[in-house]
Amino acid sequence: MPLGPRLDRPSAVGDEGRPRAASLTVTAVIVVAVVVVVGLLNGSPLLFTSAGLFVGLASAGLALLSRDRVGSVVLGHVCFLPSAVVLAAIVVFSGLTGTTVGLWLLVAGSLLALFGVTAGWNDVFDAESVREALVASALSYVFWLLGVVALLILASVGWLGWTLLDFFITDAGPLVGLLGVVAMVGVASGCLYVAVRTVPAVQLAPEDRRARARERYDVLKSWLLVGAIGSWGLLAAAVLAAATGLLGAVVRPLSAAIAVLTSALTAVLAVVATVALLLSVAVRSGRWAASEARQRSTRSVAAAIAALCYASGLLLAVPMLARFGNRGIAVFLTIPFLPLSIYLVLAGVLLGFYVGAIPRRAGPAALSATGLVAVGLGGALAGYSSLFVFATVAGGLVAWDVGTFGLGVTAELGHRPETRRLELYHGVFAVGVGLVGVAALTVLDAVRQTVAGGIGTPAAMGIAVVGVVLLLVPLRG
Amino acid sequence: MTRRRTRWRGAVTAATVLAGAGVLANNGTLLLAAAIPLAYLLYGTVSAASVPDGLTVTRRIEPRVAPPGRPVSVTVTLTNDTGRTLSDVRLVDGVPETLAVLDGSPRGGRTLRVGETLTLAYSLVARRGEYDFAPPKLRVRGVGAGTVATTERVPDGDERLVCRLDADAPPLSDSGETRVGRLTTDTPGEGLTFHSTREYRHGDPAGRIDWRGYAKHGELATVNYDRQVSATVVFVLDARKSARVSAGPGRPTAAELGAYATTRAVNTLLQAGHNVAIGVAGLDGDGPAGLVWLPPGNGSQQRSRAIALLGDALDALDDSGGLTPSLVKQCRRVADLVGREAQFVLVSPVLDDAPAEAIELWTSFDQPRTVLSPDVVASNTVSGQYERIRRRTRLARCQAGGARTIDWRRGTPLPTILELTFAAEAKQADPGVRAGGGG
Repeated sequence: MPLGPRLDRPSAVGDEGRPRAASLTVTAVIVVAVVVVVGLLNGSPLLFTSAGLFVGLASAGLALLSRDRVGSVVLGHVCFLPSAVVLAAIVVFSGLTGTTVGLWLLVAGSLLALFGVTAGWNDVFDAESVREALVASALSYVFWLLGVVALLILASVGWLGWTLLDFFITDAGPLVGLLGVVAMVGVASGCLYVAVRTVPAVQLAPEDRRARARERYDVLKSWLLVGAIGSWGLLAAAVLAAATGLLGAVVRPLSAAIAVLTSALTAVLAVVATVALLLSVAVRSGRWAASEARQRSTRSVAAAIAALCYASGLLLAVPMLARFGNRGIAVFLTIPFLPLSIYLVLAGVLLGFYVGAIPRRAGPAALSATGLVAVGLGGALAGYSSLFVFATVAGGLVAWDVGTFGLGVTAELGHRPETRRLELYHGVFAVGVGLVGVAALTVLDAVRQTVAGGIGTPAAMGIAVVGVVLLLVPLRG
Repeated sequence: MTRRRTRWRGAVTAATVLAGAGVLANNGTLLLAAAIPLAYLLYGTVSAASVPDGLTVTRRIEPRVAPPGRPVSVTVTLTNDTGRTLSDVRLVDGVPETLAVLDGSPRGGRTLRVGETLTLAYSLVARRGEYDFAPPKLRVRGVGAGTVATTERVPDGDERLVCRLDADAPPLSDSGETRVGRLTTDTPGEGLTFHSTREYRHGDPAGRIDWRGYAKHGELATVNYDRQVSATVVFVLDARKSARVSAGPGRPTAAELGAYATTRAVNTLLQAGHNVAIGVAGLDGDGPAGLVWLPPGNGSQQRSRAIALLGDALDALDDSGGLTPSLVKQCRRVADLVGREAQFVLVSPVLDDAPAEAIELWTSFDQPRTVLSPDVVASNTVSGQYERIRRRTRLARCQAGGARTIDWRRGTPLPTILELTFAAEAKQADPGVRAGGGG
């Protein structure tokens, strides 16, 4: 029995959106080979396995964010945002620590190419899925921010209450202590009143005793209300009496007894008030989850749950980050802002789709090809061998050719007919053209480096570029 | 038609970026790398495509004449007799739009070497009518897939599927107007099967005298045979709006399947020598209580009339939309009209309560009654599952009302079911069990 939602359900493998499996396999083999080689040349042999994990999770999360079940969408949130944040951190970190632009391009291009492959398999990288991911994930981020603000307010109130409590018990004199006890009675009565009104105790009682329980609860509620109002009234009267000095005269002889009363009652009343308040909140939340949550949209509920998951994850990470001292604190304070970079990227991708910079149907193939060309560019700038550069650029072109060809096969024939031979035949030719090109250019490059002199000069290169541009004019693709 | 496809704009961009970066970084390797996208651009541009004449297409439809609901297999073959390998050939058969593909795919593509064949095999669900298949579309690409040539090639073999209500009903050539039916009664008479002997009476035909008994005992006795009689069976086809639904797009409606089931059953009963009447509910007909009505009769002419009536009724369904009398009222009127000797068969998908109420009404006539129900409820959705339970509950209600219920599930051949019900029972000698008998 499969665990969790499946990514390859028919709706995710639409007739139009996803290239056929053989084409995707060819692309995947090329991309994996390039990324493994990049890792080995770069001195990070685990680049593929470590980055691949997060790329896979981010892609799966992107796919799941478009689903219509709360569980799947929550899983999508949990997979997407943290993985995307990690990938963004890897790219930014490699940019900061890399000695050249080339090394940064190598890492960024590898991740892009890997993401293109996974997005192709999951059929997710189109304008609709990216927009849905952007909206859903941003919503979860907003919920998380609101939760953090609420938590901060709650913590402040708690701290204030604790300070007051401490003041009443230890530092305040008998007069203030007495006023504090009266105030606490009012607060505790009010909180108990709210709790009794909220908890469905009458409904939970056996049916034959329900009428009697209702009567008792009505009496209890009345007493608590009277207690709360009376306490606050008493407090007001006591403050007036204290202001006139009358209460001070009465209290002074009883200061020892009042000190005992204050220290014994205040803490108990505070505990009662807190428990009653927590109980009310828990019951209200449970009732909301059981009734109203179903009527809310899947997106909002899943975003709220995801926000809770983010907060829990961050709290769990605190002890680990604390071990790194100031650097850990800096990371902890930076993490909340990293998702903004992801949303910026997603918004850029959406813009790319709308202006036509990214092909609407062939997004994954374009990502893989762009990533591999970027790796080739990075390799050249980092001073890697020309064979690696040519092979990587050729790999990017093969990925584009095979990916778009497979997409066309799916669009014309659907996903039912067996088309492996058709795709592989095309793939063999595409790879063949690449191999011939790479071989020829490697020889040419060797000759260039041997003869060096006139061929490598900027003037010769400028002439060559003019020649390339002239060639591109009639062959516009 | 040949057209060029733009696939390499990205390669142009890549070449420009690599060349630009090469110049900026003064890097000869990058400049050379810019030639790779250009090589692919060239590879896509120079590849040409055309549809050669040596590609032959053949289509086979099996069966070419089918009743509604019957799966029809279609096989299309494309053979490369061009003398060269074709790197990318794609074929899409011209399936009539109103028919649904049940299994397989009418599309396919592969690389075809000389003499090789691409075969498309798929099956359709037949719907009443005549359907012409469009010529298959043939698409050929060059090696670089930059050019696409498309054409329509008229296939050899079958081009038309005919779906008739009486497609698999045998002719009634062996049944004459004078047949008396195959039901037997307790009262002996003329016939073929031995029943008993009685004392000879003057005037008994010599052929019925028990000569062997006379030789043995010296007394004349006359042989009695099982007397064979015919029954009148009334079919009411439910073609109301609730029955004009299908299990999915391109599939026959319940009314179509019901008409086919009625045709088949009528044929079987007429072959057995019974009288048959037909009423179609759901149309504004000239018959009793607004039914489209065929009075009881037998023989091959009655069969022709029945098929014509059902066909005309199905044709009229698309145009009808007005109010029609209730099914229960129409069934009561039919029962009053044909008298208490007739047997009743209600052909309905039972998608509302009216059929069950009609059966309960017929209970008062104390005659055998049957519900033949084509199943058109989809079971792959929650609402479908719910509707399926409701339908079964209604069928159980019909059964509780004394009717024999026949649930014609999709995929089960109708002749098998009818053979097991009408024909088999009609041939039984026990008078307690008659054609369409209850229980």
